[in-house]
Amino acid sequence: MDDDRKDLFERLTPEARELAPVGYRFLHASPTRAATIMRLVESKHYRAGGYVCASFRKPISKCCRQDDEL
Amino acid sequence: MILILSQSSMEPTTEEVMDCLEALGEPCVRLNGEDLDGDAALRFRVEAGTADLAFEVDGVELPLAEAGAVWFRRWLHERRAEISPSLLTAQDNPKLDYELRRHLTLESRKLSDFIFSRLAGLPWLSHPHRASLNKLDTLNRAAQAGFATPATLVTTEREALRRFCETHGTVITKPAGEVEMFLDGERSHFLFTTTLDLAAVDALPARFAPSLFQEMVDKAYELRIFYLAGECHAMAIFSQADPQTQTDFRRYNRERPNRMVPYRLRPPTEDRIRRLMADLGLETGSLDLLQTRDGREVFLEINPVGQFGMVSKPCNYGLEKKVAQLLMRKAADGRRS
Amino acid sequence: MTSSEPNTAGAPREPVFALFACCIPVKGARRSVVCDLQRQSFQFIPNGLYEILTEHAGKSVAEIKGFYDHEYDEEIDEYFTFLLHHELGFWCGEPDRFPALDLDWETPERITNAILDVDDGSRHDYGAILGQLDDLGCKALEVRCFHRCTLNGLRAILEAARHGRLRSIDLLAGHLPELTPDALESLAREHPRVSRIVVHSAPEQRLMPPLRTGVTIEYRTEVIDSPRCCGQVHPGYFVVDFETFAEGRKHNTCLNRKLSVDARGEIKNCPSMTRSFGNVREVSLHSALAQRDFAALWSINKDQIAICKDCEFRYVCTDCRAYLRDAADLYSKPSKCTYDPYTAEWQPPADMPAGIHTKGASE
Repeated sequence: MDDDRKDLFERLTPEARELAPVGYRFLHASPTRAATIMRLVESKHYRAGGYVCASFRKPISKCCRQDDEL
Repeated sequence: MILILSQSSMEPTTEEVMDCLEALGEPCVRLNGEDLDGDAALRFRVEAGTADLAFEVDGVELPLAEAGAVWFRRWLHERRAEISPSLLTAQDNPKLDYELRRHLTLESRKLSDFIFSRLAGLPWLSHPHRASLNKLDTLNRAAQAGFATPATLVTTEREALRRFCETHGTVITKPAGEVEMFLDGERSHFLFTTTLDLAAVDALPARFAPSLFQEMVDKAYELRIFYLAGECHAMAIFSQADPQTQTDFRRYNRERPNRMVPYRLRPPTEDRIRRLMADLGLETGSLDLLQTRDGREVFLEINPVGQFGMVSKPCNYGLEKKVAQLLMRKAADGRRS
Repeated sequence: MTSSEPNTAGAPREPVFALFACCIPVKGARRSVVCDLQRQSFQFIPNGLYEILTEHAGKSVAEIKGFYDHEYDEEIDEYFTFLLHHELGFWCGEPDRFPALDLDWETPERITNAILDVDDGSRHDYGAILGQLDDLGCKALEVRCFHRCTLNGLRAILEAARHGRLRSIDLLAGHLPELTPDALESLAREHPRVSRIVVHSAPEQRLMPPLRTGVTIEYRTEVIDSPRCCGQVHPGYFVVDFETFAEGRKHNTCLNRKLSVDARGEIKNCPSMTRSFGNVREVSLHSALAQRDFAALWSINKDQIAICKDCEFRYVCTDCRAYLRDAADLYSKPSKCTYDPYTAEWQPPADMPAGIHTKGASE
């Protein structure tokens, strides 16, 4: 990881800290553009506190019994 | 194929638009400002009467030539060389250090400008050279388009400011240009709009650097409108109730966020917005207006390249998809002509 | 600009109470809630107030009081004070300017979330599976290791996701001494997509403070050794946000756009279901998804399910179609739900976990 980015989280504004990390890749195969590669965005090195991802906050499975006190 | 100019971090909206493009079957390529700094291999060559520009990522060249339209979402922080702590220049000589960093900034700007010019023949949303606004000029044009605007003063004179305060009561100040963030070691300082009363004015020197002041308009709520190719998508922000956010809603209250709800503009307001955007040559932008307690709309400012996620999400306007569809239309129109 | 003639183009009307568009009332058999989608909480309200907010929306307070023959004037004032105190609404001079929130919403991805089950007999090709999930646009994955899983085992799974599109990975794994808080924290740092790690069958219950990056690591004593543990219904699993609420109006909040691979590699809606759409070693996820029945259960929402349809929590509750009160009736309520909307009681009563802002369990 770049030294530059290592302390970046601490220097983020509260708004920036609310954003989720993203790892991204497109794969586009097409007969005329076989060599077309979509941009890979590396998974972010930092993430916001308590925020999972933009449109996904709900539980995926519900195996754990909920504690009566948290 | 859509070419997206962005930055590599803190860009959830970019990712969402890319999701939409992919679901709609339109390939896209993302070029981040950081690619100019070595995240990608850059090559621009002028030789024997030909010129070519290429970026290579992981050994594969990005197919810039296939781009049908360009979405200018963000670019690199132009002045990153000036703030990067890992850039070792002349640490014992702050002035030289500053000048070297400034030089890097200017070099970077020239290179960016070149890339934008190179691609200027394509349809853009929106080309940065055309989407650069001057706040004062915009206020002027807004007034001409029929908007009420806050009384505004740019001055170097405390006395002029005092008279302005006496006429208009509480006054706010904000940058005439861009809102900046300053990193100070572990802390960040953000330029919020701030109020000044007569006591604060009296504490100023008789003369200061040219600064912008406006009357503080007594608002019922704020309106943020995302304009896209003739359509207005409006949201009301209730920031008055919370003293923390009263003057600048960006001082977000994490515990009790301001209410943000869909809003229906009156048709004359929409017409005015269309006129103004046409006058400014803008196809898209975020407009900030205020609604006063006595029912008047007051124009504040326009951000031509802004976050629209903050309007799209609370109001469920699906703007990410609309932007994707507009980009596809532009690419298709470009192919036809 | 005062004038004595009526100004038809926007005469100031007597303000009426308007809920903010993100605050949506939902009626239950015994009581109702106002779901605050923006602040992600809900408030209980009596059904009488639900009626006022819906049938009498847009009327002035005087009109509303008059409608009830002025028998409830005090209560009505209290209602509005309550709503204002919780910032659920405002006095609105121009209700026409404030439309309702459009609740039509669909993600572009065909699959948004996936479960991958692993036990010590599993032989998954993680690269192949995760690659295929990527192609489907899947954003969130939960990997449930029912067995005691080594650190290297977890690492191997996460490595396969390194260059993909997943935005979050939840891990569930059986306890081994090497799964120390430090080791797991390290793992989470190496793999920024990890959002949550739960270690089950642990010697003691322990919830670590969230990492600076928001990742939570938790140790639980309960033994989670098979899909049969799933299907819990409890306010701790309620989600009050726009996407889930919008989804809940039309779709099944658990199964919608979910794809699972069980520990034997069988492709299913969820590992607790019996119907398999093929084995991942022979059949691609894409072709399993293309089978006509795959999405059959996605459209069963709470409004179609007995008892749930009368429950005030129906749009914030994540459903279960696998473990049913009546296994023969696909439209019966989840077997593990102990709430009775007709008495507004949980049997035994459930304490509200911190983070859900409710105003008194009895209303």
